[in-house]
Amino acid sequence: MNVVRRALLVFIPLALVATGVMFLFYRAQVDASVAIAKAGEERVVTIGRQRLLVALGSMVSDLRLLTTEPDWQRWLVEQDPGGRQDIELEYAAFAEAKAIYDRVRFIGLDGRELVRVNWSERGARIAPQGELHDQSQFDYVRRSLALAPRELYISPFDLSVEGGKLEEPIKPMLRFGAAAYDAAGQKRGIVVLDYLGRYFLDRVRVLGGSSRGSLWLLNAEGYWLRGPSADEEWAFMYPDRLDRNMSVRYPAIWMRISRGADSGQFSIDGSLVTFARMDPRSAMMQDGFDGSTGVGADAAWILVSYVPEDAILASAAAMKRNLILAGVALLMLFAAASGLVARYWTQQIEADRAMKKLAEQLQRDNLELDALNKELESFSYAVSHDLRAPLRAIDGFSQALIEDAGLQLDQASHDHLTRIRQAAQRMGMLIDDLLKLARVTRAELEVGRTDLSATAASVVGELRRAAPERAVEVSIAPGLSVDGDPMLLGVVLENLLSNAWKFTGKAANPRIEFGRIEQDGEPVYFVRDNGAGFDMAYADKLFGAFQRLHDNKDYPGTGIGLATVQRIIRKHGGRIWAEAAVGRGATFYFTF
Amino acid sequence: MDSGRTILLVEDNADDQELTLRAFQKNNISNRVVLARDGEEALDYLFGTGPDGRRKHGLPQVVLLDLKLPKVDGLDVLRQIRAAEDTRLLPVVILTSSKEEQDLLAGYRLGANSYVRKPVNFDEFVEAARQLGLYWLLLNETPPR
Repeated sequence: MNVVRRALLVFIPLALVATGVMFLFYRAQVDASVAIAKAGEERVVTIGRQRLLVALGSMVSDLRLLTTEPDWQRWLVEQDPGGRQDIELEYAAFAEAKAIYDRVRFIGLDGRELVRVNWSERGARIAPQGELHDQSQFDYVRRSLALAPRELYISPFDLSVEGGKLEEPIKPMLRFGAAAYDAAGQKRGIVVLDYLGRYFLDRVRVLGGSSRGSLWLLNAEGYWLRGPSADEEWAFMYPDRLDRNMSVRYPAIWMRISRGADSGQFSIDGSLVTFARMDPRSAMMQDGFDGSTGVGADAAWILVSYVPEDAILASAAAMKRNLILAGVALLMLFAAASGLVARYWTQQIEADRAMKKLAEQLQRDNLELDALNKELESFSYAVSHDLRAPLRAIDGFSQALIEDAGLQLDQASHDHLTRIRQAAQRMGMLIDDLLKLARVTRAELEVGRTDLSATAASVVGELRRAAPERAVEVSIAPGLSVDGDPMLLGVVLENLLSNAWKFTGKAANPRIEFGRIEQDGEPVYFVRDNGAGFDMAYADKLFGAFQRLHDNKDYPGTGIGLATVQRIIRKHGGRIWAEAAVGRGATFYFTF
Repeated sequence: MDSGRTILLVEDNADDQELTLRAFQKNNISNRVVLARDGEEALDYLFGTGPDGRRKHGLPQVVLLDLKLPKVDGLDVLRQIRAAEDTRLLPVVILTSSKEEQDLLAGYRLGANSYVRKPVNFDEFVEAARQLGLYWLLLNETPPR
C-alpha cells in the first residue's frame, strides 16, 4: 500500500508537469494554427477580390470594344445592309472567341433586338430576324438606353428568367450594357452582353479551394450567390426562400460585415470570418468607363471566407491526437518509472527501518550487557572481599594450632593441618585467578604501541629473580611490537612465559624462545619451550577454564591462565593455538 | 618497641581481629591495640563522640582500616578522618581482603597513606604485620601535633 502511495507521490507531479507542458505545446500549436489560418484566409480573400475584379475588368474591356465598333455606323447611319451582316458575323466570332457570354446583342433605341448572337457550348448562333424580340420591358434595357457616352451599366447578378419563369437548370447571369453613339454624337442603340455568371462563380469556387473553410460570394443584401449549398444560393429569386440569407442564418456575422467596412477579419464563436467588399464600378473605372450599376444600394458584392473552428484547428487536432498518444505513452512510462522508484524508495525506507531497529536492539543489548557487567563487578567484589576471609581464618588458625599445640600433635595430625593450609592457599589462588579472568573479560581495550620484546624480557627477569637457582636458556627476538593493550598483552606474555618456565622445570637443558614467524602473509608470534609438552589429543581442552593437563603435584597451577590468555587474544581479534608432544615441549602461537 | 603508641584496628571480622593480634604478637609488637568493630565505633573513638563522652586519650600512632564494615564503611571513615582538622594528617593504612582496582583507587584518592592486602597464607600475613609494625611504629615519624 505504501508503495502505491509513494508511486503516486512521484507519478502525480511528473504527470502534472508533462500534461502541463503538452497542454502549453498544444496551445501554442492552436495559436499558430489560428495565425496561419488568419493570414491564409486574408490572402485568399484579397487575391480573390483582385482576380474577380480583373475578370470583371476584362468584360468591361470587351464591352468597350464592341461599342466602338464602326460596322453599325455603316449599317445604321449609312443604311448599308451589308453592315448588319458584318456585325452579326463579328458578334458570332466574338462570342465564339470569348466563350463566356450567353448572348451578344445590339438593341435599338425602341428596345427591340436588332442583332442577337446566342452562344452555348455547341457554338454561336445568329438569331434570324424573326426571332428578334422587343426587350423594352427589361430594366437593364431601359437603364442602358439612358446612358451617356462612356457610361456603363452592370446589372444585378441574378438568374436568367425566360418567359416570366426561371430558366432550368438555373443560369446565373450578369448583364453589361453600354449605349452606342454615332460619329455625330447621336445615340443609335445599346450593346448588351449577357455574361454567363457560372464562370464567375467557378472562379470563386477555384479560389475557395485555397481556403480552409468555405469561400462565399454574397450580394449587398446578404444573399448567397455562392454559398454553403445550392439550396441556399440565389434565394432572393425564389419568393419562398427569402429567409435564406446571412442576416437570418448568420446574424452575428452579417451584422459585422454589413457595417460597411471595405474588408475585415474577425472571429465569432471560434469561427474565423474574412471578408472583402467588391465594387464592380472600380472595374469600370480602370477602363475609362464611368457608370451606374444595378448591383445594389452600396453597389457591392462581398467575398466571404468562413472557416469553422474545427477547420482552423484541423492541424492542431492532428497534433492533439499525436500529443495524446505521446502523452499516454509518456504517462505509462512515468507510471512504470514511478513504480520502480517507489519500490526502490520503499526498500530504502524498510532497510532504514530495519537498521534503526537493529541499532535499537543493539542499544538494548548494550544496556543489558552493561547491567550484566555491573552485576559481575559487584559479584567479583563480593568474592574478593568475602570469600577470602574464611580461607584466611582456616589457614591462620591451622597455623596457630600447629604452633600452639604442636608438641601434643602426632605427625599425621601435623601433616593434616599442613594439608588444610595448602588447600586454603590453593583456593585463595584460584579465587585470585578467577578474579583476574573476570577483570580481563570486562576490561575495555586501551590500544597503544606495545613492545612485546621488552615486556617478555621483563617477565623473564621476574621469573629469574623468583627462582635464581634455575638455569634456563631464554631467547627473545628483538624489536617485536604491536598495537594492542599493553596491560593485557603483559598478562598474555606473563602467562605463556611462566607456563614455559614452569613446564621446563624438569627438562635437562631448559630452553624458552619468544619470536615471530610469517604464515600466509600474517605475522604469527610464538612462545616455545622444550619442557613437558602435552598430548595433542587434549589440545581442545587447553584453553578452557580450570582445565589442566598435568598433575598439580608436578606442575602446580589453577588452570585459568590459558583461558585468560585466550580471552585477551580474542579481544584483540586474534587467534591462539598450540603444538606440542609429550616430553618434547610445546609451542603457543598467537596472532592479532 | 615503644608500647605507649596506640594502634587503632578497625575490623569487623572476629577471626581477622584474632589473627591480626596474633600476627602482632608473633612479631613482638606490644603496643596497645584499640579495636573498633565497625566504622561508627572507629569514628566515636577518634572524635570522642561515643557513650564515654569526650576523648580522654590521644590519637593513635596509626589506624589499620578494613574497607568492608557494618554501619559506616571504611572509605567513609577515611573520608571523615581526612575532613576533620584534628585527624587530617593521621596515618591510615587500609588493610583489607580486596585488591580490586576500584578500592585501591578510592582509598588512595581519599588520602590513605598505604594499602595492604591481607594474604590468605598466614605466614605471609605475619610477615606483613611485621613490616607494618616496623615501619609505622618505629620507622615513621608522625606529623607534629
